[in-house]
Amino acid sequence: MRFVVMFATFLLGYAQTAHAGGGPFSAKAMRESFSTREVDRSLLLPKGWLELSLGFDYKLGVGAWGADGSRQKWEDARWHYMTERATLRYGLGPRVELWAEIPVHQARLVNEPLGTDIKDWSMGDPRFGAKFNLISRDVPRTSFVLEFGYKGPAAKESPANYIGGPNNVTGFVFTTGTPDLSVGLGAKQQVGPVGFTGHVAYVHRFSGVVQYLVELENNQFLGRIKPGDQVKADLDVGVQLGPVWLHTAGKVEWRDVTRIGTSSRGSSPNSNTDVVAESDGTAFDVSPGIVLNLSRGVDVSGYANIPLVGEDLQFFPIEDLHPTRGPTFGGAVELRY
Amino acid sequence: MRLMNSFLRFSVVTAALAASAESAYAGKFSFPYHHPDLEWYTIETEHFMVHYPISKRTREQGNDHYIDAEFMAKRSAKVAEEMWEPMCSEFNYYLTEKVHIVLLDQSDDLEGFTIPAWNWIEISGNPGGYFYRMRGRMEWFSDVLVHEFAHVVSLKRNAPISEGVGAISIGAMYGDGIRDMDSAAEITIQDTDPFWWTEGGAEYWSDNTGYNWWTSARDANLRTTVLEDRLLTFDEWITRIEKRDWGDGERGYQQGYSFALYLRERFGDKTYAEFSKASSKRWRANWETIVEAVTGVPAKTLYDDWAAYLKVKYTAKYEEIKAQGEVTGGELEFNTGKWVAKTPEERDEWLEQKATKRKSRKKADAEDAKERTGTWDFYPKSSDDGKWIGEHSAYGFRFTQVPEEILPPIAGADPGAGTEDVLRKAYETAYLMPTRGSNFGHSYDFVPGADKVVVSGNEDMHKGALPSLHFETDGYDWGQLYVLDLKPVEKKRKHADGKELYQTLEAKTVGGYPMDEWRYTAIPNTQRSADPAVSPDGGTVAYMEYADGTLNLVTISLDGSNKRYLTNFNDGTWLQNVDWSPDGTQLVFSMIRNFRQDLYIINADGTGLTALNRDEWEDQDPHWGKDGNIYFSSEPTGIFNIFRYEPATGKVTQLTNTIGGAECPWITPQGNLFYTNFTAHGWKNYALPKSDFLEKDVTGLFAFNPTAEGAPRKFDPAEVAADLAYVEDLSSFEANKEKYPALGKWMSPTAVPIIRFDNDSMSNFGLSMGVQVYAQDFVEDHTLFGIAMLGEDPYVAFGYENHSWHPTFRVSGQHMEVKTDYAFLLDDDDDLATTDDQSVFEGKQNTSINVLAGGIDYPINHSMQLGAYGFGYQYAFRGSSDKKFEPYVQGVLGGLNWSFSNVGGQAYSANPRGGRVLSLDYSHGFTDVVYKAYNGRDTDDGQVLDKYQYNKVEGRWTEHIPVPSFGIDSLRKARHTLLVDVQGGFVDRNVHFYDEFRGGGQHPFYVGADAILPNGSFAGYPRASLVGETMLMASLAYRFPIARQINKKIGPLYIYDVYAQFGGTTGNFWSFRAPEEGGNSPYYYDGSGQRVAYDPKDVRREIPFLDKAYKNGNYLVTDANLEVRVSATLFNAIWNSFVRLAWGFNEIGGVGDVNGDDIQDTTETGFGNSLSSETEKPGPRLYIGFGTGW
Repeated sequence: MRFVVMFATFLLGYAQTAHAGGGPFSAKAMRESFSTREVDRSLLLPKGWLELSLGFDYKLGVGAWGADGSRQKWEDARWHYMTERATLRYGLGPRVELWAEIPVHQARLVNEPLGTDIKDWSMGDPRFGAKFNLISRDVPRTSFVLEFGYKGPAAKESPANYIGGPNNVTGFVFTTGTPDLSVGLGAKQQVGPVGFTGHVAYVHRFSGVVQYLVELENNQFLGRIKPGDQVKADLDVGVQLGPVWLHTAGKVEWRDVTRIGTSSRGSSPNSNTDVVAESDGTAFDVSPGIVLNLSRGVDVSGYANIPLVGEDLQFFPIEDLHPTRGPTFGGAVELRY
Repeated sequence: MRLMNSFLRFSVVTAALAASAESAYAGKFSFPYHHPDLEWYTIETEHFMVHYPISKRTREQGNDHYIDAEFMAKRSAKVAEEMWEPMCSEFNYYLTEKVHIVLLDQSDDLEGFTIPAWNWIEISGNPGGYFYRMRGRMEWFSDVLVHEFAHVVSLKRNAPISEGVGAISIGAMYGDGIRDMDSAAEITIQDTDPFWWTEGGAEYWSDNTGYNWWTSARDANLRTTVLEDRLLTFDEWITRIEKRDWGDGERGYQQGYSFALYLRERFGDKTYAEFSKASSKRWRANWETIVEAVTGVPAKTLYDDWAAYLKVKYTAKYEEIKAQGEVTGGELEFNTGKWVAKTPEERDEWLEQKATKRKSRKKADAEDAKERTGTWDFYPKSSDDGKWIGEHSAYGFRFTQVPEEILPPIAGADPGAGTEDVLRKAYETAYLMPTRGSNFGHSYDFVPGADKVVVSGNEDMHKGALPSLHFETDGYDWGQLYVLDLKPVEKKRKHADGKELYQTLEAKTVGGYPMDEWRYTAIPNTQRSADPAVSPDGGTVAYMEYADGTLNLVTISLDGSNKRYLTNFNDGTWLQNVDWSPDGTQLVFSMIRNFRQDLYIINADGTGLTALNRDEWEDQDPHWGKDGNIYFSSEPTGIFNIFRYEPATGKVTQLTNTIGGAECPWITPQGNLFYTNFTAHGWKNYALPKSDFLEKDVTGLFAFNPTAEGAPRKFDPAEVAADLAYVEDLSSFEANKEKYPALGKWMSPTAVPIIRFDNDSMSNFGLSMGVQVYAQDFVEDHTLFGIAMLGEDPYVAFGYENHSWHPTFRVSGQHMEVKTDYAFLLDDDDDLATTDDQSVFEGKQNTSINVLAGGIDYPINHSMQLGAYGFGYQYAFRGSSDKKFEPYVQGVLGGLNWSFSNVGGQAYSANPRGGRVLSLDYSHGFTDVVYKAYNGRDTDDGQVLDKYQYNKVEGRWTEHIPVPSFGIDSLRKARHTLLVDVQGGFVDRNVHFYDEFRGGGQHPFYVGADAILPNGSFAGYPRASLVGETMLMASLAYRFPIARQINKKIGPLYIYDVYAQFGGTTGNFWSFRAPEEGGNSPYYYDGSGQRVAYDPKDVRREIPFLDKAYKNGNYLVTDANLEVRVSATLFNAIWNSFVRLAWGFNEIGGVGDVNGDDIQDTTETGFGNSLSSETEKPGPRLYIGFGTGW
């Protein structure tokens, strides 16, 4: 509760001073126009605008997906996940946006009958990328963009003391330990107060030596993993009601198989890796949300993410932090300058 | 005025931060010194904030460097507000942010630049003397302010990249340890606006908005440029960097301005502004494509049309001059080179004998030869007795004894036998006093009846026999008058041809200051002085004194007494060149005031200020001849010529008729004329015999003698009186004055997005993106910068500098996390020949590095700096079994450093032509090995190390030596350079690996580009492969041009020069070593199989040269390298590139992955042993850098 009150106070202060032209630095004013309403906005941040989004989400994991897509429920185990993320977007030019995101994760596993209560945290994997405008029209808003993204595996990947098996785990792994590179397309079409937005992206996941895989010959060296590549798509429909943007999205994901093993010499280091059986899969979530467009400089949003269909998604989308089954609730405040 | 490339500044900051606490002195944009004696104030207007200084201590309180720039501030504020609307209207782009104008009055050097994205303009109050000669009659504040504000608006309007971003830096490095090849490329994406549009546009928009105009001085520049076939080509005028010879920088301004005027006639007055609008829509690799988009005609076609138009126009003008009779005399040059022309016909012949092809080497060489005799030659004068001739020549004031009748232009075609030897002697025995900075472009005068001359010098010229060692305690080096003793000193020696050769009496200099202190005496109370003129009785000097944007006329005795202000302007009035009447009762000078420039006279007691003339011409450089006539320079025909005004008759006569521009007249005792003539190859001093004077009556062109009967033009003295009495109302700005806050007014931060790829280990993809942010307050008391990189290896750093006291104080911090994977080769039988039993296993480690640093830098003078620094650091690891980072080693270190450099500004040069860098560093450190897994200890060189202290000394001497030409012209033109680089270092005890010296190949991608401190040392060996507590290495290299002045643009790439260098390094890194196996000193083997001494005293220091360094296995390590450098720009940003092929002659061992294949061979040494079983074989290493520098 204390958190919420402080947050609101900060927000109020920012909204009052955002355009007062005061503060310690000289303001830059040479920016392209930017609408207050979500429905009017392009998928690209206009030139000269800097956006900082401070968000969080929370999930209580009560079960998991089986490899066959079945819903499995834990009797006593509970996973608590909390992620705070800061996302920066910058309108670099009339046709280019740069973005970057840093998450911080907290995870907690509780199983009272077993006396388990493990907490750990880490900076998550930072992501960054660029968007390029392919088509942009103002009224009604049409936006078609090319998107690139990269994930650097900076998060903690050491499982701490693994000797003796998972019962002795003292920390959690927060990343695959390998980079991702994605390319995708995004589109938005406005029809009056209604907006349709969709994305499709291909994610190539590189292989690498990781600290959480141990070879079993000497038990002191590490293994290599090649997480399965992904295809992701979503479609979002929203309606603008005054300063309120109500929307809901459907998200689908296909994932290829994961391979693990040891490195091979030469230019193809994955030759020694083998497919992990049934590590591929699909998932479908729905995600309703609300955005309050307070001004050009401030938005506040909230959303829920409800997994409807899944297949063994606990296998190494660790950096996504939601390997378990259960709804996620989150929110963010977006500040623009 | 220059537009600062903000990205260069960021690069410096990055390099400084990377160097951590031992970073180089960052300094400020304009001055190396801080001025805590100044209080800053701000005048705020509707659209501007004008910041200006006032000294905290008054003159009455003993401050001999008192500054009060309040008039400048008010005047600037008024001009700025007047120009804001018309300039914004030009672009239909109305700024909503305020623009900050900082007035610099600490120095007498011309300064004016802007960084538009920062809304920041800096200008100096004192533009010096030569600015007017380049640009014509200008009101300094309006000219410089409008020019810079035009940059602000036009470049904001032009920017396709958001103005919050200075540039985008993209870099990639691929290190191939197997093939021994490091390849890297760096590209800077920034706004690509070209030189001609940026600077020519700023001149044009100043014109288009009514604050500037095409003057005769500008026309002289362009006219001579066209007629002497020196127009910047279409390729050359794109970029402002490395213009190939004298005047090319100014040509860029004037050609761009002229082109704008041409396009105005052809397409309308908004054409240049339209370019900016088109540019803002998308980024273009070739900005010039905009020209066709806006006008429908390709830029090259328009350039050719414009050049053809100029050719016709100026050729016709020259034909007109020749039809009237060209009267110029000949160049006043004692060094009778073959090219020296005595007549215009000879000059034309010389020009014609050059190859007709524009870019031929022959022509360029001929032009170089012409420019070597001087490009800023002014003020040719003779003493009253005819004994001495003086000039401001190529390298300073030159005074010599030579009869004027034998000077080639005077003597004519038949000077007589022996003349050549006399001239040579005169040239070789001339006394040369170097000039610099604030006295550049200012004059001198002979003291009648004595072998003395009064010159415009600098305060710091008198700082002792070794001026580079003097402490610059106040940060001021204003202009000051000196009396120079012209004692003839003559040394003879025989020339090879049997003739006598005389030694030139050139003042010895250190750091640009003359050393012959005994030759000159400062005249007290003459600070900020210019253009001295000595009275006929030799006792009084009249000169111009600067204060708060204004020059006043002052007289003073030669000993500094009897100082008297003859004028008391305080309103930006600018007086120029004074001279005494023959009887010493009156003085004549030129006055620039309220956009007029006329001649005035005043009585020697300060009474009777009277306009001598009043017309629309720029009348300047008055000289009151002994014949009672006043000689001056003016431009009623659009070309500056020398005129004679006869007070007795009111008659004005034109004496010269030049196609260039005639200034600075001086009538010799024999009645001949010395003057300065403008050419495409600089201002040259000329002599014209009186028999050749044009003697054309042009009285009707001028308005002299308001009351004389029959004068064709008159003027109303009441107008003059009203003009002199006019006081501009600036009172409204008084109320807006406030003190500048101690914490400053900050500009909006500017960022540089950075994208980097660097394959630092086998599976580390190495891609990271981040941003570098820089901010400072407007008067540069505070600077802040930060870097954050995201990726597998995140990195954050910050830094702060404070410049509000004499030294610079700085703090910085860094946090870095690095994931590296590594591999071991396990060989069951320890026999590398059998591979069946070999396995490669991998590990991965996460390293955390934290550094907190602070330091103080004190610039002793322009050449030297002292610094003190300290930092604390910690390295920590997180392995697979660690939940958090475990500290491994930590320590603190403090030190002092001293550095000397006289090669500023050559860091990006492909061939630094001379200069020296010296540095000495002492530090004391404390290191604590704390790794728990090793029980807080570690083994290095046979010794267990836990906590220890050590002392470290490191020195370096780098010398760039132009290879002597021995008078052979072809050798001199070849521009060959020898590089000597010696480095040494000593740590007084055995220390951990982290505290040792390291050497090996350096790629500028990692360490930064620096032509001065070369990266070629030990390039034949892997990076950081040579390690030890004693370091000695010497490098020698020879550098020469392959192709110079290519000046070719290929798409967005512009190539200047290609140089080659070959050389090598020898030396070694010696360490401590464990007790010998089987020796007398007791030892044991640790878990890694390393010998460890029971008694640390048994760990022996290796003796350089006598001991083979046990880590690399050599007494001496030697390599050689060949390097090719290409200086270029890409997208108008510096894009210097190189290829370096090096060859290491020794097989070396070492620590870790010595051979660079990412697999550590431990067959003999075992895990954990710091020494590897691997060796790096002798052989080649290749370094390639595109855009990385060298």
